[in-house]
Amino acid sequence: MLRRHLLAAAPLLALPAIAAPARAQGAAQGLAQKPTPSGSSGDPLRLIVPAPPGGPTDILARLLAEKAAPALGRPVVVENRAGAGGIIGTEAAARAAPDGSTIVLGHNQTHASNQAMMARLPYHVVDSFTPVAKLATVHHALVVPASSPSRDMTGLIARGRQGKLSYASSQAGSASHVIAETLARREKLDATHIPYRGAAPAATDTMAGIVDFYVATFPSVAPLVREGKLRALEIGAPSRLNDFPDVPTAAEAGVPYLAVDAWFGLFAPAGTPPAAVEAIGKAMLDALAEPSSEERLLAAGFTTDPLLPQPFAAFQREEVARWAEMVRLTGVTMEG
Amino acid sequence: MLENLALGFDVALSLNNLMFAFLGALIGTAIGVLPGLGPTATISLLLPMTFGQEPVTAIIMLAGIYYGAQYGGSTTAILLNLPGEISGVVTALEGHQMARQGRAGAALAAAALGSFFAGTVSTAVVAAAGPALTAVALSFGPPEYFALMALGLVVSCVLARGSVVKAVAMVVVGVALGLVGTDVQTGQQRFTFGVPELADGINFVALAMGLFGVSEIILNLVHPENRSGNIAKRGPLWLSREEWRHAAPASLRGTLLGTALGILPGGGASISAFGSYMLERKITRRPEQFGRGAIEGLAGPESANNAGAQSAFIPLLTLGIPSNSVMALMVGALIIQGIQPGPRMIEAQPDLFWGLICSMWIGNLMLLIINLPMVGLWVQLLRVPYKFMYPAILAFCCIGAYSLNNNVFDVYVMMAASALGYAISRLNLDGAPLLLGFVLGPMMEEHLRRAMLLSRGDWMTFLERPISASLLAVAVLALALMISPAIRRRKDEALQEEAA
Repeated sequence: MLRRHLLAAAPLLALPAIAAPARAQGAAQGLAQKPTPSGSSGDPLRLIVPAPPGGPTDILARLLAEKAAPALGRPVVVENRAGAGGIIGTEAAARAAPDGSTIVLGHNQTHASNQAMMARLPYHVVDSFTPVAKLATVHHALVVPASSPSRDMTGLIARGRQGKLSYASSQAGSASHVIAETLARREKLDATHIPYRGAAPAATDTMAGIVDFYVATFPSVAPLVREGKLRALEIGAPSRLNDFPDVPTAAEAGVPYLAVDAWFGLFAPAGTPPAAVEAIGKAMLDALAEPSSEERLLAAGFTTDPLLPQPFAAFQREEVARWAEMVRLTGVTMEG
Repeated sequence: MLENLALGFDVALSLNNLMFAFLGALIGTAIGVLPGLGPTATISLLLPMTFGQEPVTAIIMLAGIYYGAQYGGSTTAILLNLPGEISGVVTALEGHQMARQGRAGAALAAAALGSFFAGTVSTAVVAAAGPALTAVALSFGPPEYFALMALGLVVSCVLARGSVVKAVAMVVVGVALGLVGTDVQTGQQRFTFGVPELADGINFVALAMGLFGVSEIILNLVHPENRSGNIAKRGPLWLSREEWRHAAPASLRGTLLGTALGILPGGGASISAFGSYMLERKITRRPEQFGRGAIEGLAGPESANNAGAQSAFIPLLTLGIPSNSVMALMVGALIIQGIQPGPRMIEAQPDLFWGLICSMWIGNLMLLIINLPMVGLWVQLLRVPYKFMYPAILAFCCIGAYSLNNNVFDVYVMMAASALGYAISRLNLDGAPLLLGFVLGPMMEEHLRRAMLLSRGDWMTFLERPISASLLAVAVLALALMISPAIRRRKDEALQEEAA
C-alpha cells in the first residue's frame, strides 16, 4: 500500500515540475543567444554526455572538450546526463535551443538502434537532430572462456546446433545482445540470452566459464584476450588488428554479418544553423586529428573515424535502416 | 614481496606523490562531509583535476579522494544522521545515537581508528595475496551470489529494534521500492509510469538521505526537545577505557569480514558493513545497548567497510574489472592516462601497481592525521543553533541529490523519501531494514533469475554447488535461530502458567 501511494504520487507531482524548468531554461537560452545566432560568442558550448563520468563516451568527450575549446574561442563544458541507457541526456539535447550552444555525444544506440527498438522513444533519432561530426568507432568481438572447447566460429556454431549454449550481453537491448542474437537466429543455435548490468560483470562471468560466449566491444576485453583469459573467435574489423594477428575478422570466420561496429558522433538539436554546425564540427575534427588525442583514444580502444556533417548524416541513415533490420530479425525490443 | 613493497614505498613516498595523497584525502574529506556527496560523486567532480598529472600521481590522488570521501561520509552519518552511501546507514545506527549522548568525539575517533586499522590489514592482504584471491572471486557465480544475498536478507531482520514482523515488513517495502526501474533480464520497465528518470530505478543516495537525514530534520522541528543541536553536554573527544575494550575486538572482526567480502566483485563490499553490524549484535553480551549507542556496532562496521573498500581494488588491479561505481571511475581515469588496467599491469607497470598499494596505506594514515585533530571541530558543529543548522543541511542535501545525475528528479525522490521516513518514524518502524531490502532485493532477484536461466529452470543448481549450498544452509540456520528464542520464551511462559 505504501508503495502504491508513493509511486502514484511521484509522477503526478514531479512530471509537470520537471518539464517546466527545462522549458523555461530553453527559452531563456534562446533569448540570450539571439544577438549571436551562430553561437560563436564567448558563451560556453555545452557538450552533453548521456552517460556517467569515467565511461568510454565520457573519456572521448573530455578529451575533445579540452582540445577544441581554443579553436572555438569558447569553453566547452562537459555535462554528464546519465540515465535510461542514454535516453535522458539525448532527450535533453533534443529539447535544447537550436542555436549552436548545445551538442550531444551520441552513439549507435542513442542515435540508431533505439528508433526500431523502442516504441515510445521521447525523440526521433534522425528528425530531432542535426549531425555534426562522426568521431570514432569501436569493433565488437565474440569471446569465449579460455576453457571453452570451441577453437573457432565453426566449432562454436556446431556446438550450438547440437546442444544448449548460453551467451552474456552487457545489457538487454544493447548492441552486444542484438549481435549475438543475430548469430543465434542466422545459424539456428540453441542459445539462451543472459543479460548483465554492464560490460564488466559480463566479462567476469564469461572468464569464469559461467556463460559460453559474449559479444563485447573489443577494448573492454582486449587485456583479457591478450592474457589468454578469454579467447576471441572473431572481430568485426575490416582487417586483422596488428596487436592481435591471431584473431580472424568476422568475414574470415564465415560470419560477415557480425561485423557491426559501435560508433560515436556529435549531434546538435535539429534546426541548429549550418554555420554553427560547420564551425563546431571542424573544431572537433581538428581536435580529433591531433596526434596526442589520437594516441590517447587508441589507448582507450577507439579507432578515430572522422566524418563531416554531410557524410555523417548519410552514414547515420544507413545505420538506422541496418539496425531496424537486425531488430526485426532478432525480435529484440525494449518496451516501456 | 618485500622488494615489491620497497619499490612501492619508494614511489608513494616521493614528495610529490605524498603531497597529492594528502591533498586527495583532504579534499575528499572536505567534500565527503557534505550530505549526499559520497565517494562516487566526489571523484567524478574531481576527476578532471587529475588529467594533467603523471599516472601514478593521478591514481594516488584519486585513491586519497576515495578514502577521504568515505571517511567524510561517516562524519556526516554520525553527526547528522545523514548517510551518503550504503555503509553510512549502518554507521548512523549507533554512531548518531552516540553523538546524541554527547559522545560524538568518541564515535568519530573510533571510526577513524577502526578505518585505519582495517586499512592497514587489508592493504597487507592485497599486497600479499591479491592475484591469488582473484581465483576465489571467480568461483562465485550467480547461484553463490544469490545464496549470499539471501543470507544477508534473512539475517538483516536482526537489524530491527523490536518486532521481527515489523522488520520483515520493512524489508519487503524496501524490496518493492528496489523493483522500480528497467528489468535487467527483459529490458521491460517496471513501475516507472512512463517517467524516464525512473528507468534506472530510485536512486539509493536520494532515498537514504530523505529517509534518514531530511526526515530527522522534520522530526526535530516537530519535537524541538529531540534536537541533536541541543546537546549541550560536550563529552570527551577520546575513547574511554571501557569503550576501547568494546571497540577493539569488534574492529578486528569487522576487518576480517570486510576483507573477505570486498574481494567479491558482484557487490560483496556493499553488505560488509551490514554483515559486521549483524555479527556484533548477535555475539554481544549487552544487546540492550544496541540502538542506544553501542560503540562496537560502530567500530565493527566502519572497519568492515574500509577493509571492503581496500580489497575491492583486487578485481580492478588483477583483472581490470571494476567492482563498483567508484572503481569504474578509477578505470576511466587510468584509461585517460593511457593505461589499460588488467592482468598485465603488475608486470608492465610495477611502479604504478605497488605505488598504489603503498599509497593506500599512506592515504589511510593521512586520514588519521587529518581527522583526529578535526574531531573537536566537527563536534563543535553540533553546537551551532538549530535554526541555522537545518536550512544549511537542507540546502546541501538538495545540492547533493541534484549532483547525483545533474537532474532535479532526484531532489523530488529525496523529498518523497523524507515523507516516507517521517511516516516510518511516527509508526515506530525502522528504516534500516528497508534500505537493506532496497539494495539486496534487486541484486538477489538478478542473480536468482540469471542462475535459473543458466540452469534452464533447474532449482537444484543452488544445492549442487558447494558454496551456494553452504551459504543457504547458514541462512536456514539463521532463520531457525531467529525464530527459536520466541518459541523458547513461549514455552517458558507456558511452563510457568502450568506451575502456577
